[in-house]
Amino acid sequence: MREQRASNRRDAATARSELVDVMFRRHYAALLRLAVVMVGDRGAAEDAVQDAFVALHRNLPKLRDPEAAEAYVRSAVLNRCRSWVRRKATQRAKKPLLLVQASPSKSPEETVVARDEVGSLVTAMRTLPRRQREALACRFVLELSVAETAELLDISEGSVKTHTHRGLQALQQGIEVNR
Amino acid sequence: MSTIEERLSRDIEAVTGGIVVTDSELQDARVAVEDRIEGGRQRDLRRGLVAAAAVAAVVVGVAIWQGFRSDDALPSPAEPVPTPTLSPLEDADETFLAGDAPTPELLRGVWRLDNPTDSRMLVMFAADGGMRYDDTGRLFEDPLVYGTFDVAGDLITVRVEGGAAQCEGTTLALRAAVNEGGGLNLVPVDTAEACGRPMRHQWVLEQQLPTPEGHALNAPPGASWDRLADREAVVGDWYIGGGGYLLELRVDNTYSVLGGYGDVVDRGSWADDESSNRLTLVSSADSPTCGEGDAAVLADLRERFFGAMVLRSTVERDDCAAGFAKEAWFKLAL
Repeated sequence: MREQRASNRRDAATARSELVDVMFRRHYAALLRLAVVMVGDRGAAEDAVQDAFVALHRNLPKLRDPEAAEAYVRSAVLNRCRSWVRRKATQRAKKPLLLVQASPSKSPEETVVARDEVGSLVTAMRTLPRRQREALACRFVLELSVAETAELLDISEGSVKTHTHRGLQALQQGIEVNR
Repeated sequence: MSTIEERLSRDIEAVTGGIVVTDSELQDARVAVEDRIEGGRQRDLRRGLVAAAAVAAVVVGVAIWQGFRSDDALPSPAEPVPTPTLSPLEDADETFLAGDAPTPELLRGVWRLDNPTDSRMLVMFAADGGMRYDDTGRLFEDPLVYGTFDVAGDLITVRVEGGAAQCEGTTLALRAAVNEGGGLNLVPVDTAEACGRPMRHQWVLEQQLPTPEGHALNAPPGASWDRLADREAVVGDWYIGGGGYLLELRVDNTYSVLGGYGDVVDRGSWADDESSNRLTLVSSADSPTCGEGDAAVLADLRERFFGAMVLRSTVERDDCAAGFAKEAWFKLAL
């Protein structure tokens, strides 16, 4: 009996690892792109996505439906990006102004990302309020529908439309001001 | 001329198109994830071993005690009483935990994480031994975790009894010290995760209720403020400028105001009117301090981010005049 239970546990653990592996191969690149858009730092984005998969592995048995794994890991990436943005904002707020203005040295990879983003709406998007930023990321990076975005962000479809509209409006105003 | 949607899509493509994940990078990333999962397993194993060692110490202690009793002999007064053993602290933690040992009286109140990274957590320790933990802006009505706590020396033991995290039965041990500034330094014992939340290696908590003398937050003077844009952002837990009160606005349009050590002083319903840019709080019949229908109206809502969201307004009406309708609020959670 004990051996049977141990064998069942091993089978469940193997199945869990295999599912995470499939999910990883299928979604890692897309989630990395999402995270880069959200945080603008490839290293931090990789950390966020990998951390989300670790959380998925840990919480997979608690998910009611294996189909929910995809939504879970997307949501986990968004949460981690949000935390990273908050952390950065807190660090900036605690630093003397001169330190904030001094730009730290960047890795070649970061320099490429930064160069691609000069004058980009992606940079402006990161300064939007959280809901607007996340609604735009779901719609334009993950290319989710309004209904899928609403489910992922746990808000109504009306709110998704409102946040998307306001976000786009704010980006448009930013362009006009800078013209 | 392209639309804003087309331009945003193009700019996103320009940024993400340059992100190529090669097979080898994918493999490296997968290995990194596997390593982190394995690291978690090792920690779980270590935790299990510590728990087993503690149980073994108790069993051995009881066996020795019974051995003495069977011989009708009593241990000398100097005989140590068997107690569960804890892993020795690392030097850095030893230094971090320099300070007074916590007591239930010192802990009583509401605390927030002073060095936030992953969450904006709030913890409440009550006089009756109850505790609540939350980082979702629902500490008072529907916290992520609630349960009981005990203090023994520098060790706080928390037993989870319920909450939205659904991790009833979890027990968590934290080494703690009250630091010079009156804050609470915590080091979780042998755990990196609890109730689905990552545990930081060291935490510093700052007391919010009762607000320590000289710790009251006030809105920075002279800053420029924007009209409140994200109306949903008012939902969550707020520290009311000047100190002494916390406010929780929930998505179901109910609210609670807490004062003292975390006692409810007002509750009712709230409404946001975007067109007039006003927020109205109306006390309900079961409000402990205010009369049913007492309204607090905050007009000209403005926001600014100073490490945390700060909301500023003009108090247009304050029927209850209980002292918590103030012009500045500081977001604590969600």
